[in-house]
Amino acid sequence: MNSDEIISVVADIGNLYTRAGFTGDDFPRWSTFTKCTETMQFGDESLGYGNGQVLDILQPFNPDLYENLLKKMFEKLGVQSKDYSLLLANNFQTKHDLQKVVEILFESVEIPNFFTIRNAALSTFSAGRSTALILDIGAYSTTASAVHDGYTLLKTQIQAPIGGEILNEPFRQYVVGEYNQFKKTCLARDIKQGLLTYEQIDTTQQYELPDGKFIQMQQAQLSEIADKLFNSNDNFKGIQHMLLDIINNSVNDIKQQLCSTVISTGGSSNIPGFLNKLQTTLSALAPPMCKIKLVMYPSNQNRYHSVFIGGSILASLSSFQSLWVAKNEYQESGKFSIIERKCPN
Amino acid sequence: MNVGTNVSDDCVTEFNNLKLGKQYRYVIYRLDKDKNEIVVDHKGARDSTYAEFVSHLQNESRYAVYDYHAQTDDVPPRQIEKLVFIFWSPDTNQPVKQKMAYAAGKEALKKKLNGLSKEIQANEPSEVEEAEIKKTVLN
Repeated sequence: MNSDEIISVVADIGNLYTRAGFTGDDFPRWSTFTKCTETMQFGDESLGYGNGQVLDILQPFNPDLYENLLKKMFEKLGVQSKDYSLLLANNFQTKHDLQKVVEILFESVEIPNFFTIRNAALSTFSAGRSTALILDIGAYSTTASAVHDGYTLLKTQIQAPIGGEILNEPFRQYVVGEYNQFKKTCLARDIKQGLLTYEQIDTTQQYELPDGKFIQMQQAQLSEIADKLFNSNDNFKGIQHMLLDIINNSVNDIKQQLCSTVISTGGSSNIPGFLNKLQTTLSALAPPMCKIKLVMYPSNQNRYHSVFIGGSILASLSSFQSLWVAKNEYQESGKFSIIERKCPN
Repeated sequence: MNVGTNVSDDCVTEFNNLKLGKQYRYVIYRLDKDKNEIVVDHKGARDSTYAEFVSHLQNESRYAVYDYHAQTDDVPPRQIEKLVFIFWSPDTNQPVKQKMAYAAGKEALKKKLNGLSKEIQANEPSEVEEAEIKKTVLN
C-alpha cells in the first residue's frame, strides 16, 4: 500500500456478526455480535453476563440500535466518522431499510462518502473472480446467488431460513451451568465447532468442557445434524437444490461459468468434509455439459470474512475512487435516487 | 460492474488493426498498476500459432483478443471466424488484490472493443487450451 492511497472503512454488518475494518487489511479489526444489551453495551463480555435482555439489531431491523452500532464501530476503530468514507456490504432485505441506513450515515453519523454492494459480489471479488455462483451459509439464513461481472443477479437469488445457528441446537444439552441464553448459545456453538464433521471418523469425537468433563458423540449422531444443510423439509430444499435452481434458471451463456466457479462462504463451509460433500452432491445432480468446480479461498479463515475482504480490496482500488457517493451528491440529488444510480445493487 | 479503470487509446487502435486491418492474430493486454490503465502488452503476427499465444499467459492475469478460425464438422465444412475475448486469471502465485483489479477492470476494456463474439475465462492452463477455444467458437 503506497502513501497515496486513501484509507476507508469497510463494514459487513450481518445478522449475527459485525465485522469492520480498513481498506487494505485482510482482517477486520473489529469483530462483534450484531446485538446489544438494553443499556447499549456491545461485545460478548457484556452480552454474556447478567439476565438482562439481549437485543437484536437486525432481524428485525432496528434503526436506533443500528445507529448506535455504527457510532460504536467508528469509536472502536479509533477514527472520526467525518473523515472516513464507508463501504457497507448490502445485505438489506428491503430498499427501505437501506434507505434508512444511508440517511443515518450521512445525517447522523456524518460520513463524507458512501458506497454499497451486495455481499455476494464482495465474496466473489475476494476469491479473485467477478463471476461466480455464491453459496453464503449465514447464521440464520442461507443465500445462494449468481454474480455476473460484479452484478448480483437478484432475479435468481434464493434465500432459505436455515443457517449455521440451527446446527447449535443439538449441542445445547451439553451446556451445564448458570448462564444466560446468549452465553448458552455461544457455548453450544463452540461445542458444535469442535465436534461437527461430515467426515468418517474412526473413533468417537471428543470435546472437553470447561469443567474438565468430556462429551462424546458418534458419527451417526453428527451426520444427522450436519446433514440438515442438505436435507429437505417443509420450508427448505437443501443447499444443493438452491444452487441447482439458480443454474437451471440462468441463461445458457453463463451456466457453464457459474458451474465452474462455485464458491461456498460463511463459517459453516469450514465444517470438515463439507466442501467434499458439496462437490459430490452437486456433481451428481448437475445438468450434463456443466462440470461443477468449487473455487477455494486462500485460507479457511477467509470464509468468515470473505465479504469484508472483498470490500477491503474493492475500495482500495484506485479505479474505484470515482464511484463513491459524496454527501453533497446525496443531498443535492434527492437523496436515495443517487444511491440507486451509482451503486449497482 | 465497471469500476472505471482507464483504457489506453492504443488498446482500441490495435484491436481495430486486428479486426479490420487483419494485421495480427492476437492482441494481449495488461493492467499497468502505476498508471491504473489497461495497455497493450503484446501483439501476435497474423501467422502466429496458438501455442505462441499461450506462451505469453504465465503467472499474471492478462486480457486478450484472439481472431480464431475454425472448421465445422459439416460436409462440406464451413469456415467460422470469431473474435474471442480471453480473460486469463491464474489462481497460483498472484496476490488477490491484483487478481481482483484485473477482474474489476475487465468491463472497462470490453466496453471499448466492439465486435467480440465470445468470451472465455481461464484460471488454469487446461482452460485455455486450443480445444477449449475451438469448442467455444463452434458452439
